[in-house]
Amino acid sequence: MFGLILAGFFLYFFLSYAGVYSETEESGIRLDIIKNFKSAIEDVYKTGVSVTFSQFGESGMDFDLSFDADYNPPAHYPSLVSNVQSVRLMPPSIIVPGDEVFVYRTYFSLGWWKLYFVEALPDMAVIFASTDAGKGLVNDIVSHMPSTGQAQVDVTFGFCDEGDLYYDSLCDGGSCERTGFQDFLDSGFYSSSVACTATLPESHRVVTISGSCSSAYAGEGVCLTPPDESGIGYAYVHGSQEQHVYRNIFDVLSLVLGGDEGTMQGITGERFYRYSTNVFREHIRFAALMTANRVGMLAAELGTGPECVDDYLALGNTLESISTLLAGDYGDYSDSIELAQLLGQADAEYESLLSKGCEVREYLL
Amino acid sequence: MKGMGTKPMEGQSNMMEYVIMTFFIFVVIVALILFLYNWQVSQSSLDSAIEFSERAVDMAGSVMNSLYFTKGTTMVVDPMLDDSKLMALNATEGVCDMLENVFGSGWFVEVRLIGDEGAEEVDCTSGNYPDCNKWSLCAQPDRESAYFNLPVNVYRKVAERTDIGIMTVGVYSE
Repeated sequence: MFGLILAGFFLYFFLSYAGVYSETEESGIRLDIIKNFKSAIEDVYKTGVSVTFSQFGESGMDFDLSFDADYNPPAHYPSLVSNVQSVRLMPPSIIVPGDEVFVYRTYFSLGWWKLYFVEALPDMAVIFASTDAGKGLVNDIVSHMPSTGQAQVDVTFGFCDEGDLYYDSLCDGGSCERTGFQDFLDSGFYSSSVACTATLPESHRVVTISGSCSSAYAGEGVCLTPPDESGIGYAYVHGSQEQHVYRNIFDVLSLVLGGDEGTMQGITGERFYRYSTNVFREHIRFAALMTANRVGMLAAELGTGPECVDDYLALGNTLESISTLLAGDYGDYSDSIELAQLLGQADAEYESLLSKGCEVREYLL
Repeated sequence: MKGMGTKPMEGQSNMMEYVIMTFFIFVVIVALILFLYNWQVSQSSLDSAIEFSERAVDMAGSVMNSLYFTKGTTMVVDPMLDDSKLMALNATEGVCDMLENVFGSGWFVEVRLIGDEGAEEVDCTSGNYPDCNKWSLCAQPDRESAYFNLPVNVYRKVAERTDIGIMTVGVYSE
């Protein structure tokens, strides 16, 4: 009898310990995979070498991963949130979770500065329903997305015109990844002036580009007005009445890739949009301030003689104005126009410095 | 008579065996629990020490690949630090807060040029640039840190030449 009680006690002890231990081990493995994902994003951000991250699917575990895009430093930094733990993620990123994701770096240039950001995307079809006026924006969106020709992940593109979908046989009888779609855009474009109502492929993002986009947009995905001459336009997300001003491709991609999925924290596209706006503000404000100091110092160092000095001083003044504008409560359309004008001016002044040999022109291989 | 005398003795001896065995097993279980607990504690402190130094290495990589520190406006495979940017960062008011907004909190960077042997270390200020050889950003000498040294190229903008330096990037314990 005593032996039985003892054996039972042993069995209970080892089983409960084994249960706790395996749970701890599994949490540890999950955390390691999330940290590996973070490292992959950081490495791609630093090197520009794209990777496919497939550990989420390979592990067979449930991660319930999301990207907490609340960027409000120093109170709150963005992070990857899972059912185990959250890890902080500093490189500017657009993260769409999936079992297998393609991690890719892109950027947009202001001339005197480039803002680099990372996209982590699972299999996805981006479907455009655009008027002819939106062709430039379609090109811009596609050129800032990954070419996944040789990768395990497929990011593909197509068109929609009301109930007609041009997707499955657009490129050599199949769907188009980026390069094929860009080739197609060189010679053709399926224009549409109405919202897409076709049956869409799995994991899709619908992008409607039309001058008639408004808060009443009832179609799927996002609706963007074609950009004006400053590159600025309005954006509306399905399920929200809010009107957003997009100022650059980072804003546009945040809205498009975030999409119209509703979460506890709000619509993902809108959360990502607020993130891209804040990232742009913090990074460019700092870059402008630092570069203004730099060119001011160089102008002082070079004396009054050389031809670089006036251009350095002019660029410094413009950058200080940019920094001041970004430090304030900017956000509406008129502020965005003013910012675009200042950025254009700074770009021209930097170009002048390059042409005079004061700054060194770089060539991307 | 003999038999009547040995039965209680056997019972007592069996009881003693059980008690000793139980005690022994109890000691083994307690030892096992203590061992596993200690192992986990030492493992987690080792993990945090590794994580601490990994943060320093990661931070060094981030700095070396950041346009705030490196020459030009493009992220390249063979970056070099730009002394005019280091100088401009030094001269920017509230630079540590802004750097923390971009890179996260709790780190510092120091760059020293390796000049002629015995050359004096001169901190760079707006008054002595470019005749100086040391830049320090966000250093807090009183805090415990893990740091990482690596040799770097430093582009000297005014002189238009490249010098060699040592960059120290460290992170503070949280």
